[in-house]
Amino acid sequence: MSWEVSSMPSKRSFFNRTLFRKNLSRFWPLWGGVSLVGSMAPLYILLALLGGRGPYSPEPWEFASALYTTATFFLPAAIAAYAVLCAMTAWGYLYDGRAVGMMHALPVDRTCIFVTSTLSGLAALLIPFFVVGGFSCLIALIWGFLDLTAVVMTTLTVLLLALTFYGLATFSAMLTGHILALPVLYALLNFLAPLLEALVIGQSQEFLVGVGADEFGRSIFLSPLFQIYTRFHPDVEKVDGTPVYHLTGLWVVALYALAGLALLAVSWLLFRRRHSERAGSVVAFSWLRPVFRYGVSLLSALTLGRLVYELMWASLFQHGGYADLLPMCVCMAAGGALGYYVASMLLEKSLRVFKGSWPGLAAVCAGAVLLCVLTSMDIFGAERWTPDPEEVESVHLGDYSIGFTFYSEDDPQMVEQVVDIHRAIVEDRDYIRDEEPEEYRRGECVSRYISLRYRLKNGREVQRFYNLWVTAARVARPDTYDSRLAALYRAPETIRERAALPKGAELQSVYVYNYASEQPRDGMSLDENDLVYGAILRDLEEGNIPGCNLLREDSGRYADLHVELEYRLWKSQESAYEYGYKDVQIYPSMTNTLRALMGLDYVSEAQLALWDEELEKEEALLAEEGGIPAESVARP
Amino acid sequence: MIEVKSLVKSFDGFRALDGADITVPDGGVYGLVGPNGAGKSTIIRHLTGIYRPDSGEVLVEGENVYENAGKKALMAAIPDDWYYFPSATILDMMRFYQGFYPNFDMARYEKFREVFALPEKSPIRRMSKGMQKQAAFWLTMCCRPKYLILDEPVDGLDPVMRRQVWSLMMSDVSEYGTTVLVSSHNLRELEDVCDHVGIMNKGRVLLERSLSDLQENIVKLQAVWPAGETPVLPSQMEVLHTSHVGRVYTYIVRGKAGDITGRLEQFKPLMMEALPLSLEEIFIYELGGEQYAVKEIIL
Repeated sequence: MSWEVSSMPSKRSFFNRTLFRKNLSRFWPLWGGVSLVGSMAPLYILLALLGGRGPYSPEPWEFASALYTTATFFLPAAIAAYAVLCAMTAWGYLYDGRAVGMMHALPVDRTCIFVTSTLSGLAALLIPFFVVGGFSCLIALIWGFLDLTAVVMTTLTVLLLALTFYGLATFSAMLTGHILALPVLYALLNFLAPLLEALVIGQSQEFLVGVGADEFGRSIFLSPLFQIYTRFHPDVEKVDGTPVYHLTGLWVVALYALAGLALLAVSWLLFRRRHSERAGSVVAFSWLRPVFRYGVSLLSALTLGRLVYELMWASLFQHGGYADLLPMCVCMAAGGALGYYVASMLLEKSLRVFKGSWPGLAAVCAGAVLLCVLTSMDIFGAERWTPDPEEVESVHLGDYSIGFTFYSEDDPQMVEQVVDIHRAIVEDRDYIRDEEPEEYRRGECVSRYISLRYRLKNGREVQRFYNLWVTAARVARPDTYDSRLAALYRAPETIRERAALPKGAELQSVYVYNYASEQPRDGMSLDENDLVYGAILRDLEEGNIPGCNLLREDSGRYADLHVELEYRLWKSQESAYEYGYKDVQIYPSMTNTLRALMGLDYVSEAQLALWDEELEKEEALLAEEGGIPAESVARP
Repeated sequence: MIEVKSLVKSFDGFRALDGADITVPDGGVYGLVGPNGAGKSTIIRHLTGIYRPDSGEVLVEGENVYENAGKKALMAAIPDDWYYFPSATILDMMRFYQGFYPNFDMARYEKFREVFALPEKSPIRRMSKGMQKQAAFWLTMCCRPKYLILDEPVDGLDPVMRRQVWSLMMSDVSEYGTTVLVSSHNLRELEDVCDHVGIMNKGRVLLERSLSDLQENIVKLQAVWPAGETPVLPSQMEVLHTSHVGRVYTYIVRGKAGDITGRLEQFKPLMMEALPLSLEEIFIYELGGEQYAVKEIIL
């Protein structure tokens, strides 16, 4: 026996066929099962074609449409879920001390194991998609509806998605030492950034007046699945009367695939540095231990802490819609402490983690309190922010209480008026933050849920949401937001906004709702549409439409009659038309409209009853049934 | 030659190896002994390239073994907890090893089929612990390693099979010059096969010598002194242990038997005899000095 052969310096190998084969053969039930289940779809199509049960003879564009729809709606989620299973098969040995002992004693270096295991995991990931795709293409080829471009693009999509999610799954596999921690970490890494962002915004909303969920979304790019579903979709255009499908946003998937490749490279570096003895630990590197411990504490403070606050304090003791600082601090600190000990127990694999833990615990509690205090102090000025009217390109004011929206368009005067209202709201933020006013309990106050959306000249969009109390006394005071809102609602521009279509919009349909009539009516003809809408516009021109009463928006209108205008607005090539609706309330002063509706037999004189009269009747009836004098029934 | 120099390894603050040094000469059988938790398995995992040292060196033929595929190809190991894939058969594992070890000997595999008489196509997990150990030997010996690293190798084997595998290993040592490093608690068995011994405790190698050196340097002396004249032994003599039954005194003394008996002649013993120590006795008395001794507990 000569040892020289084996002791000669051997050529460095980056791939081991035996390991590759073993990895694939050990987990064939996984990729085989997925291939089998996936093949049911083309098999169904095949049987339908053979049995002549197909609804039509398919065309190549229909095949392309089906492939692209699958590529954009099904594949991202399917590959994201399946990738982590493949990573678990390829890297599962790292989590078992015996297995890692055998694998790392083999005469190959870590790079060879990494490359081989990565390729075997990727192969297990791709095999089912190629089996199902190949089967589908074969059927399409035989029946003559194969679209080669669509096949190439879909194949490219599968490869890019596989790289994206397998890269992330492999990176997760390198960070942990426990098989069950891998899918948890993978899911967390997929959604961590938007989750944290949503939690921090949610925390701000607990204290700050007006800060809304619309602020959410800045970190979505860190969540591949979110972003791919947002940006990657099929599009269609007609060429010579035939639909031509293509994929929009494939470059986004390509960018994430590049990130996946980068993560694979980082994983290789981590794999080479990873200690074999970390098998069984929650985290595979000692520098990750504090990250894990304090990261879990933060998440726990923001979720469990807030949940405890909502259950134990907000529902029982909190006055008004905004959080009390001290109880929130206590709950957050408690949530953080719980997370700290849970993380410590997972790291130490022991329940005995309390001894000597006070410095860490103190740091977590201090951090939670600091986070609470900083959020409540509005250190970024989100609550106090109002724009300079000069910087505003347009503003949109929506009143969700009555389904009314107001666009400033490009009228600087209206922009100034809305910004002025916003400033008054910000000035009164402490009043808004307080519990409901006395008048509310006496029924002399209404609440209005207002949204403000600014598009600034620098391209930024900012939105604020306010739940405002409006009282008659404050409407009478000119320095309040109540009076300024009331003025805006009565302004001719607002009245026009409520009754006329937006600039450039095309009227699609007019729907007349007459609840007093028992005769159902068919839809209007185009001429009738124009007749009714023309009458509304004439009423608008003649000043027949009154402004909205902020305290009693229904006052003065007919109770059972309103008109809905459906319109469409050309937006852009990408989203084509945008459809919208306007709900026009009918008042006795709208003589032109009433004449048109009566002329078309949509309403008769007898069916017209004012909302106030109907309300009085209802009150009288209520008083009669309850034996209460009608005068004593409070009106809102 | 295998050399371990000042090897240090810590696990979450616990120092499992604290500057361990061993030298395994080529063609020898080296017994690594020590109490539980001494660091024997940790040193073996370094030798097979599983663990990366915190500091120090693990050299095979002068090269670091960690991430050295060429040197690892010369080595094969049977750990205490041998791993096989969950549904694998011996045949599957043979194909697996064959794909990694360039010297894998199929002829030997065929020949050993008769020796071990194990069901090749049955899943290994269904076999008894002893049968699994036999399977490990079968496959490992077929890798034709130049360096064979064994951790509790015959644990679980019946006496006949124990002799069989020792005999196979010894024939490899004599025929091919295979170097064997074996860690075991069965010191009687090691005594029969080892020519070098290293005793470990608390992450260090306390002493490392050839077995003959070790046995020549420590003596069990039995002496009977005249009545009422038990002598006080000279302070220069390194006495590891003293006990007596009646008038028969037993001394464990470090040093050459001739020197020690010569020095004790002056006390005129009625009878004096120097006996060689077994490896087990050496182990016990050497570690006794390291505060690792049998405690006399009265229940």
